Amino acid sequence: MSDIREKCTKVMSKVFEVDASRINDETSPDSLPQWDSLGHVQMVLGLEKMFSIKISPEEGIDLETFKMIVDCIEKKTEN
Amino acid sequence: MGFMYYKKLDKLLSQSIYGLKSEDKYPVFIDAVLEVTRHHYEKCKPYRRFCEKRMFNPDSFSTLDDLTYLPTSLFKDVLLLSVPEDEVFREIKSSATSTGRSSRIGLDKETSRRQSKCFNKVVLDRIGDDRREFIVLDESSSLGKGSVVTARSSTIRSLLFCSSEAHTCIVEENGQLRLDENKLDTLLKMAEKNPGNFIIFGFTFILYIHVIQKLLESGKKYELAGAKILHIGGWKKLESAKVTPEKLVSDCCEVLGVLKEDIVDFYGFTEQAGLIYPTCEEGVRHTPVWADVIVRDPLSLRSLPIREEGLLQFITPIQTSYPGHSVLTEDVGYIIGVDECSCGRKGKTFKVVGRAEKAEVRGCGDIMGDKFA
Repeated sequence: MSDIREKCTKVMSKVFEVDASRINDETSPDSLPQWDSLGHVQMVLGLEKMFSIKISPEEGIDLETFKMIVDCIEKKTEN
Repeated sequence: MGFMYYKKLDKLLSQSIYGLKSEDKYPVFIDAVLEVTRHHYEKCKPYRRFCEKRMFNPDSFSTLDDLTYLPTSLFKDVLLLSVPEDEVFREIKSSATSTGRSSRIGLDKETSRRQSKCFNKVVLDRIGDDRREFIVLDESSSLGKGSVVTARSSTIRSLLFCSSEAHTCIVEENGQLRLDENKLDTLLKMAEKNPGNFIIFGFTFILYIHVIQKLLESGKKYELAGAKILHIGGWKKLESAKVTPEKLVSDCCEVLGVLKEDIVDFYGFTEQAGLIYPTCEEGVRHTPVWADVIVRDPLSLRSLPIREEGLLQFITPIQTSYPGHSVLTEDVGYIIGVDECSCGRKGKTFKVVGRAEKAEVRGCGDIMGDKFA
């Protein structure tokens, strides 16, 4: 597992209080009831802190699956 | 079950929110409304019966004026659905009204997600794409979780998508609400250090009666130029206290030192959750590309021309789990113009002036006001 995936899993696992083994590429608000609107904000803030990046509210709207999150962080942490 | 694919609705939602002129908007909008109307007609038997009684058939409608509308009273008690009941994952109930009957809205995941996206886009267009600290004029439990949520807590939670932190300053004691004035003072002093990073959010009645009026009485003032004030829901009680929207704006500017254009009054109603109409910098509301408004005479129900006051009917195809796509409200207002607001946004501009005389008191702010000590 890449470092980014591992860290994203760690943030989500902590925010949503689920075992890391339950998180995969397809994980979304549909498969994880804890991933509601407030959970989403906490997750985004957790990711910002973990990777020292900024995710604007508009960018946050499009983070609908674990895979989308990893792709977004990879782009933001390039270089 | 997988998501349904609404091709024309998707096309509509991919358009710029306030960028299209009428001649470009309506062909795309009507196509999407027709697509969704057919869906409700096929999947929701009570809706179909309602249409049949009114001799309405989706295949025979040509203008939006022909589209049959459901009064908000039809959503009370009964859960109207256009999807199987086991696909409903969240039910929203409007604030309990004076008759104790609230509207019930069933959301499947697809509708909920679509509504959230539309809501978020409109909010960001108005307040900017930055994450800010929220001072919420409500109690902390309104930020809680649950499968059946009140419209009040649902509204607050929906808005926090652009927050970096949320503070509350109202406490509940023995079933009654009370403003924690010391905490509010601390929060506002904190906001004075970097006002642009703060949003004060509350229901209109609470904002005015329990915050602004108290500050006016005490003579306390703050310097919050750059902060934004967002408020929503229920003008009926303020009307009886003779507080006009203009007075609310000028008093907010006086005691909080905010700029007039940074005070945003949101209008929306439970039966079309997800649709929100903020006042623009010019103080009027706009229909986004995915909504339209028609004004109807309260007696004849015929549609009225620009500037004439009547009941507001809203049309939108964004709900597919229940037939909330054409709703006649008990709110009174008028259309100001089309595509000509100096703020630059296109769409119909309109004003909401109040509730019909015989309408019940509702709106989160009004209902919440009753709970204050």
